[in-house]
Amino acid sequence: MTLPLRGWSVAAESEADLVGRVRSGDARAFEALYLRYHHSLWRVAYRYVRSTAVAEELVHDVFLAVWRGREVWAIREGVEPYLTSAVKHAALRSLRREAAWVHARDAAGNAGESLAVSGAAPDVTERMAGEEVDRVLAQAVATMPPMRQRVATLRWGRGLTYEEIAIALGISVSAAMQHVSRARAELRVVYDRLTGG
Amino acid sequence: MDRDTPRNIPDDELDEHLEQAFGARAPVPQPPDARASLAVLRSRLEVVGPRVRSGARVSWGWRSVAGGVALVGVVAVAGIGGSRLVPFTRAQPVREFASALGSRAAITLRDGTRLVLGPGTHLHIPASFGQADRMVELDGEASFTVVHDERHPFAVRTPRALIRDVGTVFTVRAYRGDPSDRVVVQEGQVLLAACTDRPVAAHRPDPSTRCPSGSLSRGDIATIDDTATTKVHRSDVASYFIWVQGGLAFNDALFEDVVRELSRTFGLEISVADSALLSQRVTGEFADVPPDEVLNEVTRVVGGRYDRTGRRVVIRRQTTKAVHPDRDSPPPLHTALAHDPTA
Repeated sequence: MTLPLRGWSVAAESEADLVGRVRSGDARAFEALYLRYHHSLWRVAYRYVRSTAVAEELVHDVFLAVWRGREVWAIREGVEPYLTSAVKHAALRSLRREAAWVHARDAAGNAGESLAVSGAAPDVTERMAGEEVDRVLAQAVATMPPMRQRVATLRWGRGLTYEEIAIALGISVSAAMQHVSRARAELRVVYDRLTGG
Repeated sequence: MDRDTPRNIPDDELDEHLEQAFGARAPVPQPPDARASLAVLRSRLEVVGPRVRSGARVSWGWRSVAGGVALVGVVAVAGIGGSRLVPFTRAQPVREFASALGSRAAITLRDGTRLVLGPGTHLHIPASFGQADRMVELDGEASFTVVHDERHPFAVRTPRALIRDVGTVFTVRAYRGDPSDRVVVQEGQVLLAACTDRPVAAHRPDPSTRCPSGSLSRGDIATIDDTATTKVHRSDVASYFIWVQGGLAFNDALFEDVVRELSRTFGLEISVADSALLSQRVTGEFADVPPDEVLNEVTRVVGGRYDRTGRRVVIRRQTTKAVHPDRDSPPPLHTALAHDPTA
């Protein structure tokens, strides 16, 4: 099994072979898969959640699910597309869970309480420091209705597609598109004014 | 094209600018080391993998002598005040954990989550624990090292707040008599909601309630008062965990709060005869030091002295002229006890 010839071609070890070994309970094959895809999957997760700890959790969760269900693990395309898609879905589920908390914060925030807990838009409020234009744009987002704020954060803070925003917030795709286009219209006015348009 | 709203910049260019401004184009940091990460995954596999563990019942227990509250799977922590826990023989389905005043207790829950209960703390575990989620109710202080399980989120409920972990180490202080709750994160991340109305079944805050929420990460210290006002600041949090090892830390703390903490930690009834002392401030750290030594230091630094009879302690203002020559001017504040060799 471990012929020297295969030593140099570890990366090329057939994926179907690895999957088959994982399915039969080979922990070493499982770990080889983990080491091979950890970095790229972590980056995928990070883009959605923007938290190193949460990204790591999500990658772990996906691999734990694979290991627990290994006997019936079936994949159609390659391993990487499968795992990438699993991580994406896990990330969207995670965002969706968070949305409930954020709504709650917004409800309280609208009630005029003094809040220092960062919630919906840490990306927006933190990353924009420095440039005046960016600061004013962030302020504009902060005064939007809660759902529009949330959508703006996911669209321009994390680069999600309409479909992903819809899943993350539990709304329809067309609602997501509407929120984005309203937010964009508002931000365009601000942007044009600031840039002398 | 609407003439009244001139479009100086096309959608895609505006989007590009917004993505730059709001972070979507911010660089992704380096992922953690894959091998270290694999080690963490292995430990999770060990904990979660063999399902037998989560179903196994602890077949022995302990009874708290002081409170008479039955405990399951408790290991008494040797430390301040010594252990007040003795074993009892019959196993029973107990869902209440308690530590007496003056003692701490370490607990390992059946999901592998480790807790240390501070003095005078009650932890209630509802019957639903482990089904949809892992919710516990806390009155007092506890540090949590949570074994994360995405499908069964671990959550702590206090009279003022709901705290959910994202794989982490944190402490919650929520004594009923205190003016505010405090959550401190040492590792990882937690989600915090300052719920003021809490239906028993609410595992997550109801969007319709006034419930500020958000995430806290490593180094964050949050306080939540009775009006659900939540304040967060970031600091070196090590001193907030020192009690777990039997230590005490005060950072510019009101003497009033110091007295309350000493009462809990040592199981003493401390009264302060001179109310002017209560508003003084104290800074200092103690490792696992006997009560009398701590009392001596702390009272001395605020210009007081104490008399102890058994568990009763009375603190009075020091009247000796050498120590306090001018009765109208208070003694020096902010004295660092730990660095004072003249104890």
